[in-house]
Amino acid sequence: MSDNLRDLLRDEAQPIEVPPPPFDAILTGGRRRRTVRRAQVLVAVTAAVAAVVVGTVGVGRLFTDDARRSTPQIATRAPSPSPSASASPTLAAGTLEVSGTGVGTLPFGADAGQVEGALDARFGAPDRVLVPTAYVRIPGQDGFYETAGDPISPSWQYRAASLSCWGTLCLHFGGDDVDSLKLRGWVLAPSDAGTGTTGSASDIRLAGTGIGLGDTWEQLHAAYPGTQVNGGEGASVTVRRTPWAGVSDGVGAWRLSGAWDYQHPHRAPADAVVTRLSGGEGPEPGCC
Amino acid sequence: MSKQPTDAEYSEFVAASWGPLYRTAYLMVGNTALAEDLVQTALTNTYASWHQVREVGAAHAYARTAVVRSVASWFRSKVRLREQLTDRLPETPYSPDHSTRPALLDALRQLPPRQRAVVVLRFYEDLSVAQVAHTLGCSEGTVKSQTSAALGKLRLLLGESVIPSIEGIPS
Repeated sequence: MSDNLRDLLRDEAQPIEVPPPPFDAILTGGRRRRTVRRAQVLVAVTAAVAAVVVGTVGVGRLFTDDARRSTPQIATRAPSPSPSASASPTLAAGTLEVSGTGVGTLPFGADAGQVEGALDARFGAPDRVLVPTAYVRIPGQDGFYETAGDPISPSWQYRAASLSCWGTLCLHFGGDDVDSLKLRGWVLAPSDAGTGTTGSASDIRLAGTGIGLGDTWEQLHAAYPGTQVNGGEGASVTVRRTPWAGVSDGVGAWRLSGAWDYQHPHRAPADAVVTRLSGGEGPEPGCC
Repeated sequence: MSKQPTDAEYSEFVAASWGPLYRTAYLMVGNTALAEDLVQTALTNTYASWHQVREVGAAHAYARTAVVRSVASWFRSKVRLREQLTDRLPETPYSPDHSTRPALLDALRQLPPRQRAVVVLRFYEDLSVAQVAHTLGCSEGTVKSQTSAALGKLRLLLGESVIPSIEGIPS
């Protein structure tokens, strides 16, 4: 088998014309990069020294009365349920139901390979993939960030992250390293990639209520009476008091079409329909 | 190497490595212009660490890892930029060539990026499971499972005659 594949790959690669290497561009760019890297090391060392000094002072303050009176941190997100031993690696045909606990029969915490395999079998190969990425700590910040030194870059509590999308459905995976990724969250939103090949990933709805993209605000509110219209970044219309925690993209975890009316902050625009739903956890952009 | 490698040695290294790295990148992304950009980026990054190279013989493996990382970065940015590069014109003229070349590249494009990298590194670069794991920064078990999954998909796409099934994990 491997000989066939070797031959095919070589037949594919060998005939292509290889352009001459751009020596000047490589050497010039390399020198510039080396200079930048040295400057970054210098800045990092300076910052580390400063952090040690500030940390020493901060530890001292921990023992003051003010620090003792500080209120404890309140968890803003329920912990993900542990993976169910009975999780099925396949998804039944028909409507795929997503919820605050998982995707179909796959709970949050399920192994990424199993989940992707089940979705592949159902919808085919994902049309968008964010390969496993190592997130980094930023001194003085909680969690792990996508970009070192950028506290408004997407962040969450996992060191490794990946994303796979089948049409309108995107799944977030996270873990301590790229080999232990688990299902952490899902987002249902119209795909704007323009390259999607998995149009069949459209019959996806919220478990129990059947709410999906394109349904009206009235239908959503009837299904979840506790929900409330609210404003979002850029006069977008968001939904708050959702039945479970979702993944915000910087605007909101759940959204409606139309523009937010700040004079009637809890009124949905006429003909507003659901444009974004989500559940679980995913990297979320920082703010301000 | 007892002394720091020089720019002249780096130019020699680039001349020798450019072609093989370009072909590897091309198989991973399926686009010649993009392959050129990614290899250039990888070699530029490699130069920044060139003074730390103790043995020029090991530099190719280092550069190959840099290419794989450039490819991975590109796939990540592709998700955000929502762009799809292709070597093909929107309307492909009639071609009497019925060779398997387009089919193979199309099939590779349908694999997730990591599986594509595993296939190219294992079967084009002829790296061992351990070498692929080191290059991709993952475990050998992951390489084996990704290889198995990739070959399964290629078998479906290209047919049993091209990728015959055998028992066990491919070695």
